[in-house]
Amino acid sequence: MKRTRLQARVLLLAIGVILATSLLDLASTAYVQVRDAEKRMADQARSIGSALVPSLQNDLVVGDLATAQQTLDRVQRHAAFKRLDLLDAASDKVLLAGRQAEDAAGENGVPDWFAGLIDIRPPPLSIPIQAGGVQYGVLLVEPSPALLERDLWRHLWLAALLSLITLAVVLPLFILTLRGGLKPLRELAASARKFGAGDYSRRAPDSTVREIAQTARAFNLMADNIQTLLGQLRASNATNRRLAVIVEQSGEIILTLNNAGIITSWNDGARRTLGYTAEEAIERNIAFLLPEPSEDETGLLARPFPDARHGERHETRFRTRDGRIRDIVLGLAPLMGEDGQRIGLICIGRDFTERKRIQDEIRRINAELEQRVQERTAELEAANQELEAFSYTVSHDLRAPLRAMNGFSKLVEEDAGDALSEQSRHMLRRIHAASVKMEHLIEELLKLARLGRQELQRDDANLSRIAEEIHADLAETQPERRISWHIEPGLTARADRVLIKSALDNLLRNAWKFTSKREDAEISFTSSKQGNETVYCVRDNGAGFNPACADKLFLPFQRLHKAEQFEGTGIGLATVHRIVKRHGGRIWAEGAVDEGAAFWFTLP
Amino acid sequence: MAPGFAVSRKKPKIMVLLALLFLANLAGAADGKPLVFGVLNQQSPALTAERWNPILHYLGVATGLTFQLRMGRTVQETDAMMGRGEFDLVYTNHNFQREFDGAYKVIARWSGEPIRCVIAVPADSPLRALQSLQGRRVAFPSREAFVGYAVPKVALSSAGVRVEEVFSGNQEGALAQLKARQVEAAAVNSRFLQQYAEREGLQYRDLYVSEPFLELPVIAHSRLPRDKVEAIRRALLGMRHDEKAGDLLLKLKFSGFEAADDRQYDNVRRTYRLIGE
Repeated sequence: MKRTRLQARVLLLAIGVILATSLLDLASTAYVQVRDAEKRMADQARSIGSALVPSLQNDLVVGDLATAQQTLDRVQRHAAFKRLDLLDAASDKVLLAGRQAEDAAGENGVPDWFAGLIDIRPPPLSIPIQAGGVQYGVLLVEPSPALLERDLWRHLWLAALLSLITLAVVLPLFILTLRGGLKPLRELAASARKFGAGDYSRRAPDSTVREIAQTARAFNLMADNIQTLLGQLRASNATNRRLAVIVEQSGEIILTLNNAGIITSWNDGARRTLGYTAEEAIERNIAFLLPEPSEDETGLLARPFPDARHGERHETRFRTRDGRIRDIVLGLAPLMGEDGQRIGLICIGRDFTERKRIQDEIRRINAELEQRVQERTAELEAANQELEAFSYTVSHDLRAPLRAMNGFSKLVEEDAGDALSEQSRHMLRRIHAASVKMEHLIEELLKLARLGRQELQRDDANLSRIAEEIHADLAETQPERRISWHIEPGLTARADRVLIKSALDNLLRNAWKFTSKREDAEISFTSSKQGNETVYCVRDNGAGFNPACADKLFLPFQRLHKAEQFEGTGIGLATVHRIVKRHGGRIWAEGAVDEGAAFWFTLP
Repeated sequence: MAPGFAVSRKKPKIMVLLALLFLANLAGAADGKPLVFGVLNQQSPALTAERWNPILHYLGVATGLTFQLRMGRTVQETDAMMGRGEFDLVYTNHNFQREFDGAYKVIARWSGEPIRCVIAVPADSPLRALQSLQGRRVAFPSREAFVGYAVPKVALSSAGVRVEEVFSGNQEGALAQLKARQVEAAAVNSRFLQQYAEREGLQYRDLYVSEPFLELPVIAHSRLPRDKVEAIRRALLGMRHDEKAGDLLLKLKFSGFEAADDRQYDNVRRTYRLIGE
């Protein structure tokens, strides 16, 4: 492509425009002049013709053709008309013809081509000469274009001369102005060249020419952006290099596959773990690492992942270059292209052969331990069952001799009571009471034993209602007692209704019993929140207990009060403890002697 | 003495020419050639043609004859043509000059009130009588004018008054000079004076008013056959009653021709005789 300077182009354009404008101006002027001249000539012909008519009328009316000839000659002397003739009215023959002066005729200096170009042909004018309805002749006036052609020809030369003078004057000024106007453009081009050569700090200078100033600003903005992008690119490259070093020097196996399972990258960690160099591994299918390649496993490595953001964990086994089999855990993540399509797979793996061996050993030991626990538990359960069966059997079997002792002691008293001394009858009554007490004790033991065998039936239990029922039963046994009861309404728990009623019955009966010696007895059943846990509380202001013995409260047959003060078997709190434990809960007590007691329990 | 009046001294030659023309015209008339109608130069030939060609066209239609307008460039030329017998009919009163008298006969006249010659002075002029014009500058239309020059000239001569004659070309020019006080008095016809005074606001006073003179007659050459003359006379006199001539008369602001004879122009003839003396 031929390149020319902008200045030369603009200069040529300006010259062309000036010449074209001059030519157009000349042509339009000539056209207008020709048209005006034609009209003017027609007007002049009409005017002069009309001016001649009265004179010619007089001449023709009196028949004075000589005077008419003189009149025509006088007008035509300066060759103003091509023809100035007087025609006969009837025959159109020329009666008189205006004659030009000899010096008027001649060349007008106009070349034929110019006359042909402008082509001035004013139409002839015929003016009838009549008076009183009688036509005496016709005056034929045909304007001559010679003078107009001469004027136009002179005007052409004058216009050409003026155009040349205009060019001579305007062009130097135009060139100076153009050079001044193009200077900022050249500076802009120089800035662009230096910027392109690597001088990114280079900027285009401002200009007073608005369009160039806009271009300079646009260039500077572009340069700023490019410089910023280059900075970001350098930073990105540095980051990429660091990441590449990290990847390369990582102890992990880091490799990438394409969608066909072909290895496309291979880091030094992979080399150290598997023994293959990058040159040996890249361009090979991942299957060469698998000891027993299967379609499932190679397909897995090439399949698309539903979630592109998260990888998957996959355990496999790779064969090393020296033939060893290594357990490898791989983190698999899809490798996405710029268009969002998966182009491959990123595999980050670790040799966990040793760890897997240790894990397997731990798993084996745990299994053995579990086996042992199960065996011991089964043995323990069997022992417990035997113990419970033994206790039950013993308790059950003990009841028969007790009933015998009870019955026979009553019979002895009834049959030989009178024969016996008061001391003997007293001993008999003590034997009878002891047997009753022992039977009651055995009964409680049986209940406690049954708790261990009974299966839990959890249900929604209304604890408040259960407490109210127990309260009613107790009040019925001793209606004369005045006790202040406070049972919080709406207390519920997911628990075995029968067992929980038994527990609450034991706790509330204890409270009833240990407040029997107080006039202002108070018993309450409430709850509170401790963290996420609901803690239920049965509180009284009765005899209380020694806090130092609190850890013995829930052991069977443990009594902290003398039997003559408060009767009891020592089994009740043990039963409550077992019920709460079977529900997975906890129970504890707080109290002091003569200051009442509080029993807390939870039912998860 | 004006050139026109000098022709009278060449009477023998003119008579010969008239005789020759008479014979030629007789032949022409017999051949059906157009009758030549001369008109005295009261206006330019063009205006004369504008006025008379329509009339001649009417006469042609009315009589079946053909007429051709002809006149000289000047009064003298026209009078000379008349003297040479070139006209078959003429509208003029110059035939009453001695040298032309007799060859033509009056057959009709232009209608209208008779006109008079008036020698007028400005209304505030100290001149009170014709005699007071002695040696004063007096404007006349032209030397050829009958009412404007011949009549006042006779009156002034009769009164023994000699004035400095100033010829203005026409009636308008004479009165314009009077209004501009370039002359002491102006001799014009009474009809034009009245029109001018009304139009231009001229305040004037009469020093002299002549006897009335009839409008110019149409005269026919004696060589024309009587029947043709009669036909022409009837056509001229019938024109004012002919509906076909209505538009023409209206356009010319003319009421037609009236009957007239030679005797009605004796005062003209007398005036020419007096001025000729």
